[in-house]
Amino acid sequence: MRKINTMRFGEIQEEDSKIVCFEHGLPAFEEEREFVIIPYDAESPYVFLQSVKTPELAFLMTMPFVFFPDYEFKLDDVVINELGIRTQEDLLVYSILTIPNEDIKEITANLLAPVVVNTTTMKAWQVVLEKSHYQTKHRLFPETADLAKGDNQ
Amino acid sequence: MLVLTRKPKQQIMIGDDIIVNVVEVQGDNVRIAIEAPREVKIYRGEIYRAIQEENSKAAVQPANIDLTGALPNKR
Repeated sequence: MRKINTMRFGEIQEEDSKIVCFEHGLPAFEEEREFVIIPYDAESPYVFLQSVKTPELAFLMTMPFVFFPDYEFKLDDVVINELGIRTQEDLLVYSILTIPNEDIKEITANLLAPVVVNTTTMKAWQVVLEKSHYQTKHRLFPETADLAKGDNQ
Repeated sequence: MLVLTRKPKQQIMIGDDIIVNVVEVQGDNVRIAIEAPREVKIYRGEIYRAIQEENSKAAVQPANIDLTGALPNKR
């Protein structure tokens, strides 16, 4: 069991086997190697990627295929080998989200750099899809974004 | 920082196992071929920086995030 101090969830306990290891850190957070994935709630497609060593560092992520059914990319052999991926069932894919102006309707997903987790080895990598046409900002709710301004909801 | 001038077909060695080949120069464009061990990660600088920037923004989230209604639209 590991005790993890978090700003968002207070002090939590996680089993060692639940700690996700990013051997290279994440771009801009190269020194952050260990995280835990905490569901937003049981039914939700959202999760937090909480740093083990930095209480205030927690990324919000989602399962991209829920919002972008056509999302696809190819993992290169280096990633597959390093994460020890044997089968597709090992794999979880997340996209890191940004909430501009604290407005949920404007939330964007970084489809250019998915977080790939091997749930068997618990190794993860934020992969940069160099050759794709994806960007760092894809709106989750493009339809509501335009309506939002004149709408009280 | 080391700054040096190379001509097309000339190389730069970095350490023992990275070779940067200047393939050709056409106007503004320089074609570069890099030979490096597979585990050495090579990114276009601006793409990596864009991801660093986006991660930095994503790391600053509102304290209270209410995502209850934020579900995918049925398509």
